[in-house]
Amino acid sequence: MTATYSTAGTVSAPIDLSSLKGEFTSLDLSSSASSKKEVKPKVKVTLTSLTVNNAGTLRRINSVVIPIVYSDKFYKEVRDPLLDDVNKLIYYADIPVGAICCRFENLAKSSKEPATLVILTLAILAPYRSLNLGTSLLLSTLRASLHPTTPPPPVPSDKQTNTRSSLVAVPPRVKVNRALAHVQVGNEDAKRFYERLGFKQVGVEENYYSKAEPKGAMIMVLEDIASALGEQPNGNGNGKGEGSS
Amino acid sequence: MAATIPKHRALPDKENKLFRELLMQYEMKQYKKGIKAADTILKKFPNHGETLALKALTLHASLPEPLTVSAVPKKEESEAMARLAVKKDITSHITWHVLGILAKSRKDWDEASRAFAMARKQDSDNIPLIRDSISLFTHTRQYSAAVAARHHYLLLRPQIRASWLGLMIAHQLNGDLEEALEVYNGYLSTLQKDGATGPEKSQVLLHVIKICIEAGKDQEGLDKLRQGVRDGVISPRADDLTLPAQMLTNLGRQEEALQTYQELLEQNPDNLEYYRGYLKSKGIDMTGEITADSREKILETLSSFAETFPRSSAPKRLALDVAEGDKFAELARAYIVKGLERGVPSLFVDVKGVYSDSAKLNAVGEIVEEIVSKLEKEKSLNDDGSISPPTVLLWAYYYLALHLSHPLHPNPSHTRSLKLLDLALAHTPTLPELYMAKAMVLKRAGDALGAAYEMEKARLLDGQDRFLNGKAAKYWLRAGEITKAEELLAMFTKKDLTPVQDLTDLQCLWFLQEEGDAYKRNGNLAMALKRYQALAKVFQEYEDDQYDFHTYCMRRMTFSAYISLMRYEDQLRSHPGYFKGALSGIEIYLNVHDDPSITEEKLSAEDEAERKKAAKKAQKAEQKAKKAAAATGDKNDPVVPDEDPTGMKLLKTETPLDDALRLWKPLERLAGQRIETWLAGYEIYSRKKLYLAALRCLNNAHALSPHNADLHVQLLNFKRLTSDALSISGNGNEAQIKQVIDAQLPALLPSESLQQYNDSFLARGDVTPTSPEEIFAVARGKLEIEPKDIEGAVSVLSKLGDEGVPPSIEIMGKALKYIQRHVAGQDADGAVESLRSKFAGRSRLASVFKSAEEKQAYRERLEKVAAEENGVGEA
Repeated sequence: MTATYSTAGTVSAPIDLSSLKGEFTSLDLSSSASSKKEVKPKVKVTLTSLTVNNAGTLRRINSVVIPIVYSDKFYKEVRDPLLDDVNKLIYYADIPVGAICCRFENLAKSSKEPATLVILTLAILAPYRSLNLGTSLLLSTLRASLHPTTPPPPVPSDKQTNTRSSLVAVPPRVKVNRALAHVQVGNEDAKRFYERLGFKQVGVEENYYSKAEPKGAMIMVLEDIASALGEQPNGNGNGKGEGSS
Repeated sequence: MAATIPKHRALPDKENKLFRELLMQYEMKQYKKGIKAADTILKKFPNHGETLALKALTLHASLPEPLTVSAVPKKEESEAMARLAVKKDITSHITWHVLGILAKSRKDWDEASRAFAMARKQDSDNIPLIRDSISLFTHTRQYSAAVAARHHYLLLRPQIRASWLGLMIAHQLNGDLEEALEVYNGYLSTLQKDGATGPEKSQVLLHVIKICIEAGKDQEGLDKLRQGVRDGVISPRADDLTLPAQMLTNLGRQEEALQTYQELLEQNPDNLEYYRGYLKSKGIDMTGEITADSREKILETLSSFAETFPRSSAPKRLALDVAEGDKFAELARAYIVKGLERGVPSLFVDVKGVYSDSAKLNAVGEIVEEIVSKLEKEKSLNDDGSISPPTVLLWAYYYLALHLSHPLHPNPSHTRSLKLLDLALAHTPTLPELYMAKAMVLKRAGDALGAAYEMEKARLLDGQDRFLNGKAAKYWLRAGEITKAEELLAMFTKKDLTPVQDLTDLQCLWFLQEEGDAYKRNGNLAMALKRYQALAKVFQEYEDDQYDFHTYCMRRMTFSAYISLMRYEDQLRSHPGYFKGALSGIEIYLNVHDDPSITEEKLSAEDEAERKKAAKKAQKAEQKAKKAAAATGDKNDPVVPDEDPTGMKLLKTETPLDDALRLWKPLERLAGQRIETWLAGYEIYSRKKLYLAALRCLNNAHALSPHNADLHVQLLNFKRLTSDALSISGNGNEAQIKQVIDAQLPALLPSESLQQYNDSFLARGDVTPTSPEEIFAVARGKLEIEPKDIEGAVSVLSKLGDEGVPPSIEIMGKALKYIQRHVAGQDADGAVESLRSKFAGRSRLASVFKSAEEKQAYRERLEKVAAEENGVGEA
C-alpha cells in the first residue's frame, strides 16, 4: 500500500490553467493602481469573443447602459472575424458585465488619413464600475489594435458552406496606432475616463446623435496608442504596459 | 445428430446436400440464395419441418430494419411458417430453436424461453442452445433453471474459465452465496493457467470479494484482497480501498478502518460517503437518530476535517445537517457567505436540503436577510475596509428570492421574491439564472404564461445553451403552447425527424411527461395518453435492452457492473419518472371509464367534412406511394407509419380499467412506500368492484399515513359503495366479502356518524394550521355522504381562499374543476363564479383563476413587452 500518486487535477489540488490560452483570455485588473478600495476575495476576470450565441447578452448590456438602440446590422458587423481581437465581452466572476465594440477606419494603404480604431460602444453595467473593468477592457483593445494577431482569422463566406479548404486567409492587418471615441456633450465622467488614458478632445461634432439629447458629441482622439501603453514608439514593448495619464 | 434419423426427417442425398448449403447460406447472410434452396427442397418434400423452419428463419433475417410496409406480410408469413414447422416436426431441435429465435426477436421472452427449453429437450448437449437458454432464464428471472443450465454447461466445457465463473454468477443471482464461493474455489483449484488479462483478473477478484462481504465473510474477503494486492492483481487505490474500509468496519477493527478512511479522504475529500464511513467506524451512525453527545463528536471531527481539507466543502456541508441552534447559525452563515462570494449558482439547491427542519429554514432566512441588508448599506461583508465583489449582493438577492418562494417556506411571499429579482435584474441583467428564478416564482404563483415569457428571456441570452432551451420549452408546455415548445426543441434535435420522434427515440422522460400533461390540460386526452404510454414503453425498452448484457458482461468479465445492472433492472419501475407517468395514465383511464363519451371527438360538421377529405387524400397518397414502391422495388419502400398518430385508438380502449391496472401493477410491487400508489389502486379496484382488493389498498394507505386527505375521501366513498353495491352484485360469496369488510373497516373508519366524522376531520388536534388538502377533502366528503349538498361543499371550499390558509394554487384549481363537474346541469353557476373570484383575489398572480378576457389581455401585453425588449428578431 505504498504506491504514490499525484492528486493534481483533483478538487483539492487543481491545475493552474491561467497561463493557457483558449476561448477565454484572463485579465489582470491590478495594472492601474489607484486609491480605490481593495476587493476581497479576488475575482476572476476574463474576456471572450462576440459570437452569434452571445449576441443576446451583448444586446442586453448595450440596451441597459447606452440610451441608443443599435440595429441588427450593427450587431452583425461587430462580429466580423477581423475585429475579433478588439471586440470583446468582459466577464466578472463568470458573469458578463460589459463589452467593447469597435471598428477600424482608413485601413487601406492608399488612405490619406491615418488608420484609426474607432470605439463605437464601451459599456460596463453600473454596479461594476470603479473596479477598473472599463480601463482594463479598453487597454486590452488598444493593445490588440497595436499588435494584430498573426495570422488573422480567416473570413467565412456567407454564400456557401464553409469548409476548411474554402476559407481564404486574409492579409495581416496593419498596426493601428490611433484611436478615436465619441463622447456625448455633457458626459464629463466619460470624458475624464478617456483623458486618463491619454485621449484628447479635438473638437465637437454637432448632431452626432439623432435620437438622444444633447445631440452633440465630443471627439476624443488618442494619437499614439503605443506611448499611452507605455511602450516604445516602434512597438517593441512587451504588451504589458501601464496605463499612464 | 442422433444416431437414427426418424423417417419423416430423412432426406435423400441431393436434398440433404442442399439442406447443408441452406444452413451455410444463412450463416453467410446470403438470404436470397437460401430461400431458393429451401424452396427447391420443399417442392419435393413440402412436409419437411426443419427446412420449413430454416426458410422461416432466413426469410425473417432478410427483412429490413426498421420494418417497411412491404415487409410486414413477410414477417407474418415467417412467423406462421415457424409455427407450422414445429407442427410438422415436433421432435426436432431445429424447429423449436427457430421458433425461439423468432420469439426472442419479438421480445416475447417467455415464449422464447419455453421454446428453447423444448429445443434442449430434443438435443441437450447443443452448446449454442444452452447459451441462449441461460440468457433467457436469467432474463426472465428463472434463476434456479439458469443454475441448472450453467451446471450442465460446465460439465460439457470444464476447461473454459467462463463456464466456472458463469456458474458462480448464476449461484449468486439465485441467492446462494456460499455455493458461489465454493464454485470460485473449485475454479481456482482446477484451472491453474487461465490466460485472463490483468483487468479481467482484477474484475473477477474484486467481485469475489464483494460476494464475501455480502455473505458476511469479511475476514475471508480481507484475506483475498490483501493477497490480491500482494500478487499485483488489484491496485491499492480508490474504489478498491472502499472495500477494505467497509470490511474492517464490519469486523470492528476500528484503528485500521479509520486509517483506511483517512487514506480515502486524502484521495478525495469531497465524497460524503467516506465521511459517513469514517464516523460509522468511530461508532457514530449518521443515518439514525443523533444524540446530543454524538452530535458534539461529529461536529468536532468534521471541523478538524474542514481544517485539513480547506478547499473541500463536503465536511462543512455535512456539519449543517448535524448542527443545531446557535452552532447551526454560525456554521450556516460561514457556508453561505463563502458560497455567495464564490458565486456558486447552486448554493440554494445545496443548502435547501436542511429546510425539512423548519427551525433551520427560519435561521437561514434570517442569515440571508442580514447579509442582504449589510451589503446594501456597507457594500462589504469584510471587516478590514475592503469591499466585497458586487456579485455577492447579486447572488444574495437571488438566494433570498428563491428562499422566499420555496414551497416549504411557511409563509411564502411571491411578490417580495419577484421584487428582489427585479432588483437583481436592475443590478445585472445578463445573468440567465435570474430570469429562470423569476420564471420559477411566477410558475409557483400560478402564472404559467408569464413564467414562460421570463424563461424565454433567459434562453435568448445564450442561444447555444441546450439546458435553457429545454427549460424554455418546458415552460411553454406548462403554458399550453405545444407547437411553440416543439419549435424550440427542434433547434437541438435531428433535422430529419420531428422533435417528438427524436426525443422519444432519445427516451427523454421529462419531455414525454410534460407534453402529456400539456395535452391533458388542453383537453386532448388521446394525445396525453399516447405520450404517457410512450413513457411507459421507454421503461419496457430499458428492460429489454438488458438482454444483450447477459452474454456481454459474462464475456467481458465485468461481474460487479453486471450484478448491479440486474439489481437495477429489478427495481426499474420504481423510477420516479415511471411513477409519475403511470399515475397520469391511470387517471386518464379512470376518466374514460367514468365517462366513455369523452373518447368521442366533439367535431362540428365542417371539421368532420374537412377531416374526411384529408383522410381520403391521405389514403390516395398512400396507395400511390405503394404503387410507386412496387414499381421501383424496395428502394422507395416507406417505413411502417405510426398506426395511431392521434392516440385515439389508445383512448377508445374497451378495457380502460385493465389497461390502468397494467400500468399500476409494477407500482404495487416497487413503489409500495408511496401512498399515491395505494390511492390510485383503490380508484381502480373500487371501479372494478373488487372490494377486497380495494380494501387492501385502503389498509396499506392507512398504514402509511392515517390522516391523508385523499384517503379520508376514499374511506367515505368505500363506505357508501359497500353499503349498497354488495347486495346488488351477486356472485355467490358477497356475504363473506361483506363479513371481511365489516370486520376491518371499523379500524379505518370510526363508527360515529359519517357527517360528524367528516366535519371533525378539520378540527383534529394533531394538525394546527388547516391545510388546503384537508379542506378540499372535507368538501368532497360532504358530497360522498350527501351528493345533493352542493351548497355545503361550496361553503367548505370557500375556506380555501381565507386568510390564514396557505394559498395552494394547485388545490384551488382542482377544487374549482371538481365543483364544476358536480354542478353541471344544476342551477348553481353563481356559487362557482363567486368561488372563482374569491380564489382569484387570494392569489393575484395566478392566471388560472382569471377570466378568459383577462387572460387574453395579459397575453397580448406580454407579447408586446417581449417584442420590444428583443428588438427585431434574433439572428
